Amino acid sequence: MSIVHVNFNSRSAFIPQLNFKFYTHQLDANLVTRLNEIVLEIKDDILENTPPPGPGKPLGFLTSRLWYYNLFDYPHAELQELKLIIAQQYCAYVDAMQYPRETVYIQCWANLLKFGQHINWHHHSDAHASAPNEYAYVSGNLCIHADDTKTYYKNPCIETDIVGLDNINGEMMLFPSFISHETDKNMNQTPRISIAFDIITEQVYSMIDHKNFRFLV
Amino acid sequence: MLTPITLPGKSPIVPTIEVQFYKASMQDGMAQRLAEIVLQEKDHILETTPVPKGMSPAWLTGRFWSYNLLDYDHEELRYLKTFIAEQYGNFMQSLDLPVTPVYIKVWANLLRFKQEITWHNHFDCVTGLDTMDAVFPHISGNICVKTHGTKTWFRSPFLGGAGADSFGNGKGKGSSRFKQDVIGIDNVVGECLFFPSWVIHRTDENETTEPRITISFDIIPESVYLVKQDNAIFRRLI
Repeated sequence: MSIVHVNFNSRSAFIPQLNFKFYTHQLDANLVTRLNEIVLEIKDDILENTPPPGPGKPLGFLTSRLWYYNLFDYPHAELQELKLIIAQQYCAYVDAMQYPRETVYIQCWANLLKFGQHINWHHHSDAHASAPNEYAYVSGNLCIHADDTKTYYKNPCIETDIVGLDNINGEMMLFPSFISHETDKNMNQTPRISIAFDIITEQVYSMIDHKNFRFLV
Repeated sequence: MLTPITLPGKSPIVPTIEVQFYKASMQDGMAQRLAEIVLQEKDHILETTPVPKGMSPAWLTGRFWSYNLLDYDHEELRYLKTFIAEQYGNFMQSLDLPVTPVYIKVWANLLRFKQEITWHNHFDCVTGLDTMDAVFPHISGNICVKTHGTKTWFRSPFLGGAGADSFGNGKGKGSSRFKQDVIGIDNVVGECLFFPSWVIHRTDENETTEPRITISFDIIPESVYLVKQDNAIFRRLI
């Protein structure tokens, strides 16, 4: 585990100096290899069993199905192992940040970017569940397979102030859900595969209608 | 008058942030005269400035890139410039900050029945900012010259930035059935509100058939003015 300091500097008395702490954890390479295989194995099942996106959006874009399934509902042992690791790392993250540990729930999905695809600016404040943004909590991503790409994070006050972090295979990143981010375009023929998740508190879980979350810890 | 605003978060992850605003009132009767000037000049502004792509030709705010209201020849606008300069100085002094040379762009807003200005901030008050320049935005403000029971709303940057994401309809309601936690400040005729340019804000819808008229401005430090090639629309304030 390690803390990554994402700093947005200010040169004005009127702009806050923002220092966010992200949290990284490197997963075992064998587990990552298996997760890669699992995503490739189940992607067609996800696409066939979830509603297609709206007009104009590609049918095969896996990320657009995130609202309709939870990766942890698949029976693979490696996914349950991943869930356990996320639970452990969530606890380590909030401990390191000196935030209280909460009873939390998780929604988890897979992203597969083909050549030329990317994920545009977005944030997870509402946990993809129309939750109130003021209660934004922790999100994360696990880089399963990427070749020379970055994820970019945006200063919440200054939209053009952007920090890029390398996508390292096997690295899981936890970060505050409200921070807007985007990926590079995948310029390789090999798909860029990642697993992403939102963690919400029990308080938020009790507020939302669409409970596509599973108990985490 | 220094007016601290607290923009709250309700999660340990979401910081609560306190921002210093500043309020000042113009002399009696000035707001009405400025409203008359806006009504008098609006057609000239609309006729002599380009229509931004995708915007209605009648949308006065959309022209703010292309003119500076202070260039119009009215005694009241000269008063306005002096007033803003004095109050800007007072704002800086109240924060123990030095008063250094700054430049200003001023424009008018006219909202008709059911019109509003959706969530935005003024961090790009000089167009074409690159990342380095973007860390320099400074002070913006608005002056209510003809308003009727409306508010300007401010929200935390930690609720998702200034874009429409998760605030789909731009009103802070978005896809959520939950009311967003925002701070509303009454639009008081004759009152000027200064705030940091990055603060995200919107107006109420104008629910009356009378136009809601305000005057807005961006103030940039000389350091920004000098490095920008498209600074021609700014005027020296102090």
